[in-house]
Amino acid sequence: MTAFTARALSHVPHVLRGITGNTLRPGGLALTERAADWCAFQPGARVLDIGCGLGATLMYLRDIRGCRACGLAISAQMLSECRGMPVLQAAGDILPFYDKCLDGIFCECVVSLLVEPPKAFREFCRVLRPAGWLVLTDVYLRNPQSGAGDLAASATCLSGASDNTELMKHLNDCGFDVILWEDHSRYLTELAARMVWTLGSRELLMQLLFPGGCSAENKQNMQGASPGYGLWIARLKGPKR
Amino acid sequence: MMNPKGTQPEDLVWECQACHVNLVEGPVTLMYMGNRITVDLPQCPRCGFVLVSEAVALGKMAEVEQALEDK
Ligand SMILES: [Zn+2]
Repeated sequence: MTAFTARALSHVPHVLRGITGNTLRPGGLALTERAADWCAFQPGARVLDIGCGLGATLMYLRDIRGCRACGLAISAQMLSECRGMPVLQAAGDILPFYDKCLDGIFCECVVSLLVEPPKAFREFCRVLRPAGWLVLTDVYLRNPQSGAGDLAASATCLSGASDNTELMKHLNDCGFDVILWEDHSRYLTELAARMVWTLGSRELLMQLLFPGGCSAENKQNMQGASPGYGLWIARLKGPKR
Repeated sequence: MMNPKGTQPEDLVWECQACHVNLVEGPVTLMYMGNRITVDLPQCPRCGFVLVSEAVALGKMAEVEQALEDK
């Protein structure tokens, strides 16, 4: 089993689609646009979207920005959603690409699902051209010292939420310079609020997030760890001198 | 006016008293504690009046406010 298969979403609950409008993540396309602007991807740029979901980022990169973007997902069912666009079925840590062939990689709300992020980062490193871009957006714990351990027991993407310091260190160790880090936790809060609105109550949201039930202690741990949402833009370091 | 079972406010066709046109379901941006969320609510296509029924105000809307306060 590869690291990527472990907790990847194989299908998307319909209720979630209505709420996230096909991007399946906090912030929707806003952070994608911000990152694409920051990296100044030009028409024709070769960009890979890892965990392409329902194809919203791919469609944006191809149709709006004219990039030669392709997508990758582990689940065939998910890929079937992206009909008409170049998509590949593969794991995030074994990419079917030549060395140094890509200008950029988008990895939105995916790292928290990986069992071994550094393994994937080293693979990103291999396929990116020198000074190529890596865009990450994901949940992270704003207060990682507090009770994060018990989150692992829950089967949501919050269970893989990283500690920012650790994530930055992994990126650096794997050959990236983190050029930009921004907190966008507001998007996570707003997504939660929108889900409460659509579902009708906080109780139903908890049931969706924790299908097996969530103890009061677990709930407290989750609030204590203060899940937030972040954007990281990293650039492949130059050759060692 | 309150009908415990059967017709709910959202099942009715509402008309704007000022403009005499039917309200239509459309996106409304709610602001609360610095957060902004966009939801669908019945509104007047002419003057923009938005209908928030008692059930919505005391139900979903209160739940959303609570969720934002918990953050
Ligand atoms: Zn009116």
